[in-house]
Amino acid sequence: MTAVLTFVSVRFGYLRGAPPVLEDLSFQIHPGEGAALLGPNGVGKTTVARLAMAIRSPQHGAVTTVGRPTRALGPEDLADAVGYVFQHPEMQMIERTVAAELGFGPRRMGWPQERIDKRVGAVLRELGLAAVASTHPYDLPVGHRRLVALGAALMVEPSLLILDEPTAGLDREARKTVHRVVRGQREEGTAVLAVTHDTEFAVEALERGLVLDSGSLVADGPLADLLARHRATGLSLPGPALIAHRLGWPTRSLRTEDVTVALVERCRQEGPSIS
Amino acid sequence: MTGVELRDVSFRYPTSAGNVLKSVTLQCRPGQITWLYGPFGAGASTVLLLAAGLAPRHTGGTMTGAVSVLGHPLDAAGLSPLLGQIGFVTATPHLQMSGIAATVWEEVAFAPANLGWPLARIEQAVEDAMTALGVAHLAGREPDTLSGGELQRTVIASMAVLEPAVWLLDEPTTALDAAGQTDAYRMFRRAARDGATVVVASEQADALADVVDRLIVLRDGEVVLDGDPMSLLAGDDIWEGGPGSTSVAGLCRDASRHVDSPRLAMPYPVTIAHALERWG
Repeated sequence: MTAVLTFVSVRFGYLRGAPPVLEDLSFQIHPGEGAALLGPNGVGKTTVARLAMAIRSPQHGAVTTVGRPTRALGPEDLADAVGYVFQHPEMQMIERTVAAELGFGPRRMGWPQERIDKRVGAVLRELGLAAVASTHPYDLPVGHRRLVALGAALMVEPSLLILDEPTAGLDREARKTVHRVVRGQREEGTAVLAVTHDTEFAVEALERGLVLDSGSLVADGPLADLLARHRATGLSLPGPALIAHRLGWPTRSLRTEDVTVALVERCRQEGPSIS
Repeated sequence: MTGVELRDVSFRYPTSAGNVLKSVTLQCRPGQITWLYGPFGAGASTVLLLAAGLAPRHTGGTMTGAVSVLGHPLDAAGLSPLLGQIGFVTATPHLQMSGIAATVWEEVAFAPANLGWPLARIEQAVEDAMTALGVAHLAGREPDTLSGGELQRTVIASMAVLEPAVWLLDEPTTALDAAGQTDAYRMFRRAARDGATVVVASEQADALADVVDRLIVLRDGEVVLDGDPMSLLAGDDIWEGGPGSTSVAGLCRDASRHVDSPRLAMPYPVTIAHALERWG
């Protein structure tokens, strides 16, 4: 299967003379795959996202996004096939209403209005934002703005979604929405690369973990194994998954839904008399 | 004396359809970390804006009722008695950088310098704050070149440097790694122990459950629960009338709907330690 995103021996630094942020970074992401990009603050996670979106170009090595080598491209050249949610969604919002914000990209790409309206409606419903369609994005709580940014990223039915901290500051309902939407996108074949510190989101919506440190990957593997073993990054499993892991409950996955099933099963086996 | 007090406060923004706070009365005490918890639109961030004197002064909108901070009413008399006493970390830290500092050190020194502190005092305070937040190694960096997590740490340091009597924190650790969260909450705890009034608005129940002293739950602009965090988080009311509890309490509550077992009875376990003790 052709990779949706490929980094080959990528080196990148922002400042001349200073050591580069990324030294020798190589990885691939395939259709439908969900990869969490993990690592401590300041290690270059957002830089990887920017390189993938052709906001920056590697100084050595190559980045290929949806089959297009990014060296001579800008983000606008990928906008028809890649959705990107910035770490600070304010920095990607231009329009005066939520609906117009979602339509911005497709309008620039010349979609007919009817097609835009139809897709905007569908995305607003999927994200539970229909009630705020005519609200100014800046009148929404900060967390809600992040959902709007996600909606804008979904408009083109992208082959690759790049998400930078997509659940930061979200309330429980909104977090569940993001989990569901990201899983749904992956089922349709969209590849997802998500920068995140939220291991609950990672376990609920993704399955692969890439751990970045000192300019390259120090770990790459199934998230569940990685979070259970990888003490060095200071990461740990989310509460329910950690409990299942520590107590050795057999679970289908470490998603809370499956941990709940395991807990219910244990309590059934013990019967009502044990306390 | 109360740190932050709202008495019968109702407030609406110029663009909001109705009141976003409805007759809210609450008190946040010195020496405690108070957690304002509610889903989007519940009003937690608005309480912080009112306590900081930014609403309605800068946001516009209309308010009835009374807000006071450290015993000073925030009315037409102005904020001058509270100068340097209130620190605020907003939910959009990248928008609260000064924008005129050439280095991270200057950014952290910005507020003390504007308050006219002697240089030696500024130097010591800046160093202490930067060390506590793990950004001392970034002192010479241009603020524009910081990562999201480094920037959030810098904004917290820029506020902590003043050692304010009132700390207002709106989702202060969203971009922080696990170590950064620990550093930040250790610092908030130390401030409270030294007598500061610390108020945090956050959705991060798992992170806050065992670091706060008091929990105020908001829903649709009203205070619906107010009390001891562990007791409230272990109960059902916080689910039925509010935003829910920790992921561990949620796990237990969901399981209890499928099977009748004393292992799943209330009070629900709130933290991982509680759960391991009950189910291990």
